[in-house]
Amino acid sequence: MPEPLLRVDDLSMVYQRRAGLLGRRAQQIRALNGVSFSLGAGETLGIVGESGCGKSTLARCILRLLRPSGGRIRFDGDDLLALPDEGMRVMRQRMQMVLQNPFSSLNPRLSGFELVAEPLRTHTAMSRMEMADRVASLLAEVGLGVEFMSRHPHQLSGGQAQRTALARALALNPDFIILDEPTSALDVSVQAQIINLLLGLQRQRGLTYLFITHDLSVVQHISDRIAVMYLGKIVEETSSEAIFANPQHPYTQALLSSTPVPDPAADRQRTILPGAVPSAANPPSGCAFHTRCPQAMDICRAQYPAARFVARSHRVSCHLYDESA
Amino acid sequence: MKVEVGSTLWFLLRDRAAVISAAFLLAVALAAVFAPLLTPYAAQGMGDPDLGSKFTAPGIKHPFGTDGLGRDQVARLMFGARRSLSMGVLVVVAAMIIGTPLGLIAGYLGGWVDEALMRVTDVFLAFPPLLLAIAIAAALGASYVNAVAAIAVTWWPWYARLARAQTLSVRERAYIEAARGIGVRHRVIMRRHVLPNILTPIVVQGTLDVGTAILVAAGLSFIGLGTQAPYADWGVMISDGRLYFLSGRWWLSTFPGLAIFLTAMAFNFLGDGVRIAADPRLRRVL
Repeated sequence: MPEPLLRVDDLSMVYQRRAGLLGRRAQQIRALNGVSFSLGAGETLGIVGESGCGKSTLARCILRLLRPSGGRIRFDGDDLLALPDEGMRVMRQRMQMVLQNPFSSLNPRLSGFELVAEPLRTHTAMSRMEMADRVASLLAEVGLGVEFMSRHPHQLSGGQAQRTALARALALNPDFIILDEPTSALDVSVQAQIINLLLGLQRQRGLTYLFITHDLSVVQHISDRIAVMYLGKIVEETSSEAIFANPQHPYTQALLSSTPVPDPAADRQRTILPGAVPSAANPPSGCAFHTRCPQAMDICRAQYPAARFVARSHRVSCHLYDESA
Repeated sequence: MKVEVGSTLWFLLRDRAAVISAAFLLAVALAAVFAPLLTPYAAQGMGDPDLGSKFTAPGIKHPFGTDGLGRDQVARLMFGARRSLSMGVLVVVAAMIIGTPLGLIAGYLGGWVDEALMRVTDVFLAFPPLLLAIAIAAALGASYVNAVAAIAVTWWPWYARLARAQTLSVRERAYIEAARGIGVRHRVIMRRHVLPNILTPIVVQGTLDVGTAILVAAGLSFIGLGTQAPYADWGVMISDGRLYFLSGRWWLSTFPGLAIFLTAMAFNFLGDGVRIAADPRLRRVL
């Protein structure tokens, strides 16, 4: 088996927060708790979960915008956490990120040209003329004309702004792009356009995507594999088809049943989860999902279920699938 | 907060107090720059005495009267404006140039750098500002340049604090993280992404401060630590005239006093106008 492009092993991230009078009580927030997955070149992995499950922390740890507390991240054979700062800075040419809201991720003072040229300015010695050519072709690639070079973010629509952000991410021909809820801030009609654009770019450039979202219906069209996260852990990971056809984890089942299906005749049983996501500062014992799980057993309160394979490349962490059960 | 220079200007022009203030300040500045062309007594403005006409009361020939050496007070005021205005502006510009980068670096880097820089500013802020300026000006020796330096030294910590506070909020914006993700160096992030986005409140504060800086500079000149004879600024003129004020020669201190009062007030109105015009949330008041 070839080495995957990205391999994340047992990644943990604990935020320390000082609380109480004079900050004497230290509070620990486990945003990531032993997250492992691998992602082959040209593939798309969807990370799905509710807000607060650690999916954005995961993105920031992979790009080393945050220092994980433990675990390993290998990108194309390099241990990202062992790279010196300058080495990591250079490595960032190959891995880019697109954030949720383009109006906050684009500096309001810069023009379209300056925004898209910034990666070129940072990592190459291009002249201004070369940059202008390159920026024009990047904008064309995301479906924007040259007139967008002189537009500032507040003069753009949501879709145009996100296209600008995408052109910026593509500027250095990266291998890997983390898409952190890239469509969540956009209108539904625009969402589809951006998803199609992402799919086209992936085909042409052989890009690898990590697509983070809370919306299963969005990720379905673009992902080869999907990992479902709950309170800092991946609870189920399998192919995009299998997760819709044959969800195993009760949380995945509940997520799926909350996704609208555009067929009024569809016969569906809805699972409504009681309560809200527990706080990561004070996670439940055992399986963190047991407080809301309709099928919780005694063992769920005591012990976290180890990941096991219920089918080829279908990984689940749930006591329902223990060998003894 | 999105700020466009064009729209800020447009809203500023609708603020009557700001427009009148700006016009007044422009007139004062033009009078200062073109003083030699505007007054027949240019040499007296520079300090030459005309003992034959000393202590002339305001009249047709000398609208604001003459001083103890017979110098035309209008000419003195116009030449004095050169120093008083430039001192106020230079103090604020110097304080901004020193304070803004330090505050930006402290706020952006945080940690011990922040701690160290902010403790240094605390030391400066612990002294009463005028007293510190007097001490420094006295230690450096009385002169125009030293007075500017002395006041700027007491002033920059305010800009450092303001820049730091603004940086702390801008630092958390998504576009800073996006730039880091691209691999932009911290130095470039500070210059390209943070600085332009913290500048508006700093410029507003600067406009408000020029008036106060002129007052402080006049204060130093008043006690003899600023502009030196034979040149004059408004502070020196008040100081020279104060001995004669109660003996009937009221015009000596009154006109420079009015000049300081009106100029400082105009800068305050203008600064307030800029502050409101630059902040879309405040524009509704107009």
